[in-house]
Amino acid sequence: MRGWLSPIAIITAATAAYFGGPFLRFAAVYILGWSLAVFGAWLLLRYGLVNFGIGASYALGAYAAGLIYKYLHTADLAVHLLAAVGAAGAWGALNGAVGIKTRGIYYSLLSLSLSMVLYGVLVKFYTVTGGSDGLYMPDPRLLGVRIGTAGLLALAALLAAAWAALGEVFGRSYAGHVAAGIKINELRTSALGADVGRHILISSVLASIAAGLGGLIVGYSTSHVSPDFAYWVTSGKMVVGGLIASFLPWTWGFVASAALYQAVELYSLQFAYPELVVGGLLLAILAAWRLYYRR
Amino acid sequence: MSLRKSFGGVKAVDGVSMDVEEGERLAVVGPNGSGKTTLINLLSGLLKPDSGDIYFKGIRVTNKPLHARVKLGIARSFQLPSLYQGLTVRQNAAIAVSALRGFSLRPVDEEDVRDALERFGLWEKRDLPVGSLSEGEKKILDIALAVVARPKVLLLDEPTSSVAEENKFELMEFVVGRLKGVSLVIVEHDLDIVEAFADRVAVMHSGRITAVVPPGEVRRMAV
Amino acid sequence: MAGFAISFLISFYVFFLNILMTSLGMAFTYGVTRILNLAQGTFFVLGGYLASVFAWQIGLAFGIAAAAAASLAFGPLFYLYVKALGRTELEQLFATYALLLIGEGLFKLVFGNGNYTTASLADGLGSVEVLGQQVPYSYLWGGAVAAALLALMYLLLARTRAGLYMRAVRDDAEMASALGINVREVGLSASALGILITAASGAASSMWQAFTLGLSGQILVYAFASLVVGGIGDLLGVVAASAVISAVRTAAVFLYPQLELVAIYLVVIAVLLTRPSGLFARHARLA
Repeated sequence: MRGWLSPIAIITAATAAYFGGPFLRFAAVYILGWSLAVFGAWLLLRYGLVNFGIGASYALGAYAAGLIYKYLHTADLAVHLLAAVGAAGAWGALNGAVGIKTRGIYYSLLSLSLSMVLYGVLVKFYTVTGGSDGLYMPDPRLLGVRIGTAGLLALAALLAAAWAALGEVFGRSYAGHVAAGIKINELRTSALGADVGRHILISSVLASIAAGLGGLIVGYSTSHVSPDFAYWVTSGKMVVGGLIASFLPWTWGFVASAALYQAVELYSLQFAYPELVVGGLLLAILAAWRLYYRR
Repeated sequence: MSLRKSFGGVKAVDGVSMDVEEGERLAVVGPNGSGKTTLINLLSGLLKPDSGDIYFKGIRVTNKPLHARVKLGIARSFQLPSLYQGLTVRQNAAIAVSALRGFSLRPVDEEDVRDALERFGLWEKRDLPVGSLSEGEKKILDIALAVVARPKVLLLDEPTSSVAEENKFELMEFVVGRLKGVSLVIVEHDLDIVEAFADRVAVMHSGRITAVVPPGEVRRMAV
Repeated sequence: MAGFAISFLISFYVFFLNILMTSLGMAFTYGVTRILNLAQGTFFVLGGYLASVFAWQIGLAFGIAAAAAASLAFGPLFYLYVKALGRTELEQLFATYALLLIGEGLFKLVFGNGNYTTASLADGLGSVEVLGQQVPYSYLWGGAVAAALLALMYLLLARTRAGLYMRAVRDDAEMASALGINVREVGLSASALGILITAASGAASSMWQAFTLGLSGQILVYAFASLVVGGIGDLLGVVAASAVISAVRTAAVFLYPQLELVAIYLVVIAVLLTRPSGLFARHARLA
């Protein structure tokens, strides 16, 4: 039952951040939003799938809302949420349907290629998408009222808590055990009766929706979305976040790992060479992990 | 009707026609490279035949994938025990139980896991990592995982290979005793085992079944 | 019409050279060691930076050669680094990703934010007129370097004992090990060579390419594309794939510039879905 504390812990942390002043509020929204994309990468890692294109889903969630605002002039949260879930879900279905034909490194490169197609479209069709400048993201409204920073933080916390709950359920479920089976020995799992393609397809859709909602939240928090959301380096960071989360024993590990990664990235910005700090930290994490597992 | 499968011009299975009766134990014997394992792979759905058809209880399953055949009642074990390394016996059984459920978010039913392991006397070993089991226990667990699907036909690919000579008979006795009513297709090298446990024996040579004989006559056939 | 054709061909050739030079060393390293190196672009950029610095001191040709020679030490270090930190494919990806970031940080530390290139020196080589179009000699020299590197790799693989070991490890590392080949030593030398090739390519590319921060990641995705289309780890496949990708990309640029990047990745996706082991793979992958 201890696992059920995860959603509660997330809500509590968000509440604490609310009282921590404007910067912490902003950081909490950003981290919670980004953590949803990490959740997507983490879910696929449970199947042994390294998705180097998860950023495409993240971008689609935000662009769905940005485009609706640009062309339909509505900032209604419900409409935006539906659009983000729809766009990211459809993308996840596409990625899952073509992804099940490939495995291992080929899956990674296929998902990377898919995301780079989206990136190319977002950059080059600038009359529609705003090109590399991206699009403005409005303050969302619920029943005509701006939800504001507090509302956005509550939304981010609720979404992260909901996905943490899903992660908890998944870990104990039939589906979660099949994922472990597919990761270790796909053929054997298929020979035991699991329709591997179907499992991967459904999880791709779930992962993509999580990342899409994350992109929507992050886009709201910065009032902006750009093609960088879909660039492969963005996906790479999310995969690293997902990997760190998979080393952690808690269901809220994806939020912890997102917070860790973003905190380090933010901290590194005070230095002249931030990449060195982040790279060095990743190296330290990997070294610690290898030492721990040498036993 | 007859099954064919080639790999890059090599005819591994070249026109095989055979039936398995309900509850029957059919052994398939033959020299290395005669196509026994390819036959098992075709029947289980791991490979698709180049030509020919496979029927199960009147249903054409030739183009059905591995997992769909399992749900109809055709399961298999592997020559090299194909277990989930790094996990415990219980976790292995939990995956087998889960594999039959589709994408379900409901928690795994521990009773089913227990049943699967108790049937083959492995419940006591449930918390051991599979790597620490003996070769015989690995073979038994491999079969136990396949049996979770309650198959009507079980394809056993060399169930006694890599098991010490003196334990082979005991292992087969144990396994066969727990598979009453299940049709078995057993690929086996050891003719003592074949004579003791098979109802009929198919002799394979160069991808063809050259004879189907009662177990008593197999030594005369297989030189 | 002739003018159009020749400018199409030049454009095709330059991009072909670029993509070939980024993917050759990567294909070589991956083929033998099975390490998918996210930091391969970093070594390409390193070669370019070093060549740009050296060329101003000791001249263009010597500068490029010195840059390649200086990078020789990085290959074995890279191999040891990855093997020490990563046993599984995931851990290795993680390790090379960290290296990509560290490389970017070090480039910023050492080389700052500027553009590094030897283009102005290379301009001094002059150009040749082909059907009314000026083709700089530097492009031809670049092609010669690529051809020389390919010939070197081919001779090494086909004619030497070390090459025999590398091919054995590439085809089946476990079997090679059982036959008494020191897989670790082979991996070390293959990494050294792969990274040498990559850095030499980067050094030669500095004649027309400006090296700057962020380039490592951009280069990597082009190299991936060529690797996938060619069949990962296959040298001649990579040459053919670079030609295919450059042709598609150049056609897109001439016909519908919006689709430049998209066209490349649509080719990659089509290949992955129809021939997952690459258009030019030597062995068909067993189902």
